[in-house]
Amino acid sequence: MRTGILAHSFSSAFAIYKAVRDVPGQEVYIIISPPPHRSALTSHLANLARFVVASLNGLDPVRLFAKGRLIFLRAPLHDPASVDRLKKLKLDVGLHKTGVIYRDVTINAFRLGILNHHIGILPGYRGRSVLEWSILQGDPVGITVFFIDTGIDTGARIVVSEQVDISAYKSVGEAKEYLFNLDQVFFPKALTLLTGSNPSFEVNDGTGPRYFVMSKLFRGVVEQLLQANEVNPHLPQDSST
Amino acid sequence: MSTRQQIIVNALRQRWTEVCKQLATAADLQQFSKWKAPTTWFASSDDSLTAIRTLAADEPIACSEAAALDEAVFFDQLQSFSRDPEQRFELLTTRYRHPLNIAAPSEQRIREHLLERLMVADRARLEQHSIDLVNVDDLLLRLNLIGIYASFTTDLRYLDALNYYYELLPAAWRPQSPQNWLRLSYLSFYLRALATHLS
Repeated sequence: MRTGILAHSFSSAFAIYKAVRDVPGQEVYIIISPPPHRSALTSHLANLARFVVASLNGLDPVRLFAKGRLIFLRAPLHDPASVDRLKKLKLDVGLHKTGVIYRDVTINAFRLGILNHHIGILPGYRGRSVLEWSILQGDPVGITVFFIDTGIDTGARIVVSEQVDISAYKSVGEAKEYLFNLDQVFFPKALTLLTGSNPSFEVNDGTGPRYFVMSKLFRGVVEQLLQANEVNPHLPQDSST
Repeated sequence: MSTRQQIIVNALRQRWTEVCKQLATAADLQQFSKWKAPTTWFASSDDSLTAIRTLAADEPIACSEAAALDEAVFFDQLQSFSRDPEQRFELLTTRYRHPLNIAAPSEQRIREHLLERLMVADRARLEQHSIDLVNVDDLLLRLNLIGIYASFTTDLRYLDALNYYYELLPAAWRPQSPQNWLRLSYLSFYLRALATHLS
């Protein structure tokens, strides 16, 4: 399976690369696109510096580049030239590490689509601050890896959905960082399932409410709930994550 | 009461006290008269702004059931005027001549749309630019409608939109608009919503 990691920054893409490169049957590409509101030149210079630093710690980045698996796009991902380039790579799956919402042309450049690592349980928790909202409402916290569409967390095909124990974390910031970094665990899980002979999907019917950025008042409540260990009341005892 | 409930109640109580201070009122949690939500739609003999004033003052308003208005056409119109605040203000004041109709079962999509606009586009504009760039009447009218609905629902997203705007809009802000009283009415609906969740 040909997998492309879509990112603005080489270092964030490379962390995912190291996590998924050993999943059997993977041919992994890193595709760096300039972030919105930043010039391609500035972005590429910054990424070149990150590339050099990473190369000093090992030869993997150089090998990637030499094999043509490290690609720097000059334009945003929806630009016709970028879409053309993606199509020529004949990728099966994209892994979302950028900060943009994709348009159909970009999503359709991948045979199966683009996977998102979402730090909430779908379909119940769509949108922003879903970790905080899950804690506030006493619902399980977790990760959902699903194929995105152009809506806000409405993509219908869920590949992996699991509750996660965050009781070791006593602040929203720490818990969020932990959950975001779990993409290095959940993307390989999802790719392993997709590489299997007959992958099946759970359905995200998109009916869950869309959540928004939380107020300071409720965020303060969530911080207190974390400190009081009032989280994950429904976490199964045998959860392994 | 569980630890979770206690923590939430403490925070809401603290906010209640702050809002009371801002409104220079010594409100009682039980002081508000009970509103009735429309089963389908309430007929109205007032205009929307007069009715909002009446409700904000916690005075009675006639509530007689009538046939619901078409939602689909209105929703399309509302979306098509997403960049035209004057038109949107006009549309909303015409539809919600009886403001409690915002809580009617038929208005679910409209409520979600208003909430989304407040918490995404308007919030971003206010945070990145200046309050002077928004149409005050339109913003405050939508906060009033969301504020009214927040007293009917257990969905905390609506209450939190009020929390968020309470924190976002400067306490000393006095909008330059003939309808600047909408700021006070929105705060009184916020107070009522806090009371609903506290009791």
